[in-house]
Formats: sequence, C-alpha cells, structure tokens
Amino acid sequence: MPHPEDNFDTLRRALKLKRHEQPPPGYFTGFSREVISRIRRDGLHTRISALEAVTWEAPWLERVLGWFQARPLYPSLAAMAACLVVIGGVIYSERPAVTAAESGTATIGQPQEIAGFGAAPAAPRAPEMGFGSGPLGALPPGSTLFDRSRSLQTAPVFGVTNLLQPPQP
Amino acid sequence: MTEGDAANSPSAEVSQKPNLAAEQALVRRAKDGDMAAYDELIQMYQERIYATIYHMTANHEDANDLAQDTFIKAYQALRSFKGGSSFYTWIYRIAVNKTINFLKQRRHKGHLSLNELDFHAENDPDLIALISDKTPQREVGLKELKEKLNMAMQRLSEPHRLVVTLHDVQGLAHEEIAEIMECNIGTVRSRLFYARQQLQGYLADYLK
Repeated sequence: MPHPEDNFDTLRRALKLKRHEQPPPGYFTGFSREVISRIRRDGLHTRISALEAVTWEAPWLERVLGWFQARPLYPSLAAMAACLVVIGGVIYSERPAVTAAESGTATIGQPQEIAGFGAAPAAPRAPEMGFGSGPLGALPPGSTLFDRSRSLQTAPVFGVTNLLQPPQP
Repeated sequence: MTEGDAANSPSAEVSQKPNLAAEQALVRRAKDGDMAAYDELIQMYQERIYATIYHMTANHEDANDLAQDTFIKAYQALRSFKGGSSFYTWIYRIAVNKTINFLKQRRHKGHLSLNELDFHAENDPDLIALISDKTPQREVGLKELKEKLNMAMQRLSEPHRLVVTLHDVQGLAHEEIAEIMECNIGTVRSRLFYARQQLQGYLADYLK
C-alpha cells in the first residue's frame, strides 16, 4: 500500500491555510451559552425519544435512517415492494381454497359431462340453469333439444332438479 | 501515530486532548444534570467540532447550526454514553454523522460561505513560500488559494474529505480517525492517499 505521506508536501502546506480560516471574532464566546439555553428552552434535558434511544444503542440504524432520508425514492420503492409482497401473500394464501373449490367442481362435474355422451348419467348433477355448454353436452342419447324444451315447460319455476333427471321416454 | 505523521504533523496543538480524568468527571456531573459541567465540556470541544464541520461544509452558517445540534444531541444522549470510548471520540462521531447526513440531504452543493483568514496566515512561512515560489500566477494570493482549496475539497466524497479534514487540517492521528469513522486504519490510510491524489489533481495549477 502506498504510504499516504508520499509526495504530498506541497499539498499539505497548502492545506495548512485552512487552519487559518476562523469564524468572526467573539463567535465562540457565546456559543456554549446559546447551546445551553436551547437545551433549557426546548426542555431537552428531560427525556430522549424512544427512536433516539434505539439509534444510540445501534448507531448503524441511524446511518440506515440517514441513508433513507437522503434518498426518499428508495424508501418509497421499498414500501411499495413491501405492499406488493403483502398483497401477493394474501392472494397466494387464499388461492389454495379457490383451487380446491375449482378442482372439486371439476371432479364432480367433468366425469358426468363425459358420461353424458355415453349412456345415462350415474348421479345427479350440480344444479345448473340450462345455459352454458354443460347441459347441452349432457343430453342423453336419443333425446333432442325439442324434448328437453318440453320438459322445461312442465317443470316448476325453481324445478331445477328436473333438468337433472333424464327425460322420460 | 506513525513517524511520518509525527514529523509532519500539521498541528500538534490542534489535536491536543484534554485531561482524561477531568473530562470523565465533567461527563459524570453532566449526566447527573449539572449544566455548568456540560457548559465546560462544550467549551473544551466547541472549536474543534465547529472546525471539523466547517471544513466539511465550507459554510459558516451550516457549521454553526450543525455544531449546536451536535452538542444538543450529545446532551440528550449523554445517559447512553457508557464510556467505551473517550467523550472526545464520541462527540466527534456525533458531529461527523450529523454532518455527513446533512451533506447527503443538501440538494445544492455549490454555496460556500467561507470564514476570513486570521492575521497569522500572512506570516506563515509555508504559505509565504507557497504563494511566492510555487504559484505560477504570482498575483494569486492567499484568498484565492483559500477559495480554490475549498472548492477542491468540496469535490471530494464525504469520507475522503473527512479524512483530509481530520488528519491534514485538524491533525488527528490515523488511529483516532479510524475510531471516529468506525473503520480500520488501513481504510483511513488508503482514503487519505486517494483524497490527496485527487486534491493534488484539482489544484495542479496552483501547486506546481
């Protein structure tokens, strides 16, 4: 490592000039008095805040806070990222329930639809109102849409269960 | 302090430490709420703390505010001061942290508010030699050199400026600087070398 004293004599002599820069005469005479009066005036000699106490115990925390204060964009981005993580976490935690529900309908409904193309449905279907592609696909062999519409006319308004019955020959 | 430091030490008088026992007694009294004791502690360190901040900010008004804030904050935190380091190092650390935070938040860098040179400057043999012999433009006086120096200092990063301020201007030893900046001595030395190189480059026209 280069020794820092190397070849800097002229610079160091020039830097001596800075020692001669002095505040206005008498500046230090009243300095301590002013500090003490500020301490008394603001009642600062009583307690320190919890945050200050923590930062004194962990000086690195003060540096981190200072760094954030100097760059307000970063804490905003960090806060946004934290919000996104929380929202993502909430969505993710609810997703298994939804998936289970979805998979539940699939396991009940899908074989029946497939079975609908075969012989007769083995078990009653989940109630459906007759719109969408499911019920049409579930027509038993030999029946027509006309037969089905007739059975709908005879069915009570809320007789959804009739739709689930195979049409009578 | 290394031999080189001792030989070329810019100011043994600047870095003189006060009597440790007396300092500890004052700290103990101040912790118990004795404002007169704290007043004495302020008077012991006010010039050095002010000077450190001033050389970092190159602005008298900012240095005044920050120096006051430093002593106020130190008083508030005095109860948490456990004496692991000297009060001297501890208060320097407060001043340095405050100043660096302030400089990072300061939007515009350029505004200098420099103090006047005292009358000793004109009689300083090093400075006389520098102005008359080394400066290519003879008319460049101390005042202009002061401004160029401050402008060059402001171009350094805060840690580099701080090392130059504490060592070359205030005369602190590498060990003390390492303790204040909470880094190792190797880091202090390398920062000092780099900072001087930078300064030498910025002031090349004035230091030939």
